Amino acid sequence: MKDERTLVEGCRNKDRIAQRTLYERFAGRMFAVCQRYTRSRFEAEDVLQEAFVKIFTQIHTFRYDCPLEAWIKRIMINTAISYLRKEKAYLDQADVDDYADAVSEGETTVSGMEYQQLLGMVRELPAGCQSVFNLYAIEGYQHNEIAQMLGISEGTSKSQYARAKQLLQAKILETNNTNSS
Amino acid sequence: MASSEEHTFENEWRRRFDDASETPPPALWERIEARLDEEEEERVMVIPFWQRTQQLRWVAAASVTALLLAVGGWWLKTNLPEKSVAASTQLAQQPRATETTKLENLSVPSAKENDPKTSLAAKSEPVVDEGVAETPTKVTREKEQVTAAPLSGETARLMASSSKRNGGQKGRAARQESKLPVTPALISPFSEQTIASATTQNITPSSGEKMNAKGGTSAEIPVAGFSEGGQVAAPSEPKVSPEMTLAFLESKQLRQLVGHPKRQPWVAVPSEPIDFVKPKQLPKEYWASVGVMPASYNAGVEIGRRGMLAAASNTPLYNNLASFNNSARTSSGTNRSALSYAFQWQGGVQLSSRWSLESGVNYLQGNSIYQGVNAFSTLSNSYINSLESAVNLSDNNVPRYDLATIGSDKSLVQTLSTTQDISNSYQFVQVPVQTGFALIKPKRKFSLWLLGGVINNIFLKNSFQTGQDNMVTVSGNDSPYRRLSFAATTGMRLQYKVNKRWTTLLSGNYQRSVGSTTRANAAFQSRPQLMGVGAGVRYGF
Repeated sequence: MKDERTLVEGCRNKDRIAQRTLYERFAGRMFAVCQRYTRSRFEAEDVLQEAFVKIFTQIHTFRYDCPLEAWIKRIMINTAISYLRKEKAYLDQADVDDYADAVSEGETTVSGMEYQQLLGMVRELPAGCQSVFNLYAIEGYQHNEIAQMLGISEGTSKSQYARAKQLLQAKILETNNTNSS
Repeated sequence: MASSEEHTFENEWRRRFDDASETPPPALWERIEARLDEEEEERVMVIPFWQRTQQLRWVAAASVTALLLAVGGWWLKTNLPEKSVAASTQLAQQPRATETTKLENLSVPSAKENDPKTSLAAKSEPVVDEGVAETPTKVTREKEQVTAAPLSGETARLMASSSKRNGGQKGRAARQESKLPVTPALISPFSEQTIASATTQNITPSSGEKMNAKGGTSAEIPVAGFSEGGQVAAPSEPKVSPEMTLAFLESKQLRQLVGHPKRQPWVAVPSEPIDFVKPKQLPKEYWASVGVMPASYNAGVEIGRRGMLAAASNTPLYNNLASFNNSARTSSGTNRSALSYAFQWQGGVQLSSRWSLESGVNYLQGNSIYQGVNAFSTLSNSYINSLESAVNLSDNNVPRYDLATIGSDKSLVQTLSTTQDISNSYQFVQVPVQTGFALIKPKRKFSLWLLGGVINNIFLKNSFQTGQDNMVTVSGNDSPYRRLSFAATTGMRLQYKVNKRWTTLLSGNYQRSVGSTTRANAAFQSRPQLMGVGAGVRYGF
């Protein structure tokens, strides 16, 4: 912890070595986060770069009231959302009733699947669904929080998630069937 | 069941993604570093020790306050002698006092003998005034040097960042290198200016006293001394000793300043010239503004030697009296500024993040009082004479000023001789052409600009009142005033960006005429100066 504090203080003093150390410590995990929210590696790199610049310029606002990684991750996610908003990725918001109760059938476990395969599936989700799925399933936000973050209604968030889940389950089934046959 | 299933679904995904890690491309860190360099460079700006905008606001507020105090101080100073002058005027109105004045005047040898002395006296006055005039010139020169330093620094930075745009990695190295020369060059000039403006008021009184001490023993000298002091004080204000600046900076402990870059790597600049692309082409921003500027205007009227001779020849009836009064008059004429105002319509273009070019049209209503304290008669006052003759010569419709009538009315002459307060009102159309340099760049809400340039003053008319309700207007080609004269202008402007389009402006402005605004053959010279604090709004396109 003391080490982390030293690192943060170094970054506050704009010490390039401290900044690099912090970057190297978190870049890998954060790059994975960026990958989940974007559609290509190129976009993920853009978001990662933007977010780290923000982190270093805003490091003085970090108050040690949460783990450093959580703070960094929040900036990553916010940056990704703004990036997607800029790219108008939320234009295809689905209507609430369209995907009300999607129930999957069959084995939808992801245990036997490769990380890259799963990432590919998430990336293939429609843009709105992708963010909602990430925020709800992976990050653990509530629908009302997601609605606020994305500027959509809570109902839309729920329906987007339902659609995402349905699509993912369908993909898993499909992959499993292909593997087994 | 459904919820547990859902729970499992999410947990599974979360587990798979939570610990996921992917190595980003190695070049990414370099891109981040380059961005950080850019950010820091913008932060360092001119004043590295003011980093937070919060502090900047205070600094801006302080400098505006200092400016207002300086203007206020100058205003008070120029208006303070009014009481003593009024007292002496009252005294002069009493017959005995007038007698004394007469005696003093008469104690001067007669007209013919007096001629060489008169010319001496006339000579000595311009000498004093030349000294006075030199002070602002010096100051301007200092300021020019000061602004030259940031200019070269800026150029270096721009060149470096442009090469970066083109040359990628190499460019970044070049920019880093350019940091070192830029920073020290930029610190000192600005702080010097800040101190200069902050210490202005302290300096003012001493020069006034000095001038006062210079004066002799004759009755009118204190008044003259005072007014000259007032004139001197204003232009000599921004002088500040380098020791003061150094002491100020040392106390700040430069190395510990927040924005002072600790690491200053020297990297070789690529020797091959890279295609020079224009640096970070900001779209040129055009704007228009309107404003009003209450000001203190001093016409700086001075009766020259030629004026006295003209006065003598122009007034045959009172030729002798005029000659008697020659020596007294040359030292007794004083100028007092009065509340004036200017309306400003301006436009400009922001050439880069730091430089702007501005022009426009101002309407200036300048009010000033010329006070001939010891003149014996109105008719011996060459300033009035010159203006009057101009009126009588001109063909415009102003009521003609009958010198003979006034001359024959002794009581009137008597009154005029004692009050001699000539309220002047000047009207000019001004066309300023000036450049602005951003001391604090307009990146955020506040920006601070240093302005300098030339003002073309187009003379419209001069109305004056001679104590009786006689309002005389001088205008047109026959007036002793030049149609076009020039003034140097400098100032500071604080800008607050309200939104994308609108900006509010608060500015302090000093103008000083370059040379006389009167024609070469006029009987008097006028070298106006103006100090004002203006407010306005601007609309950006």
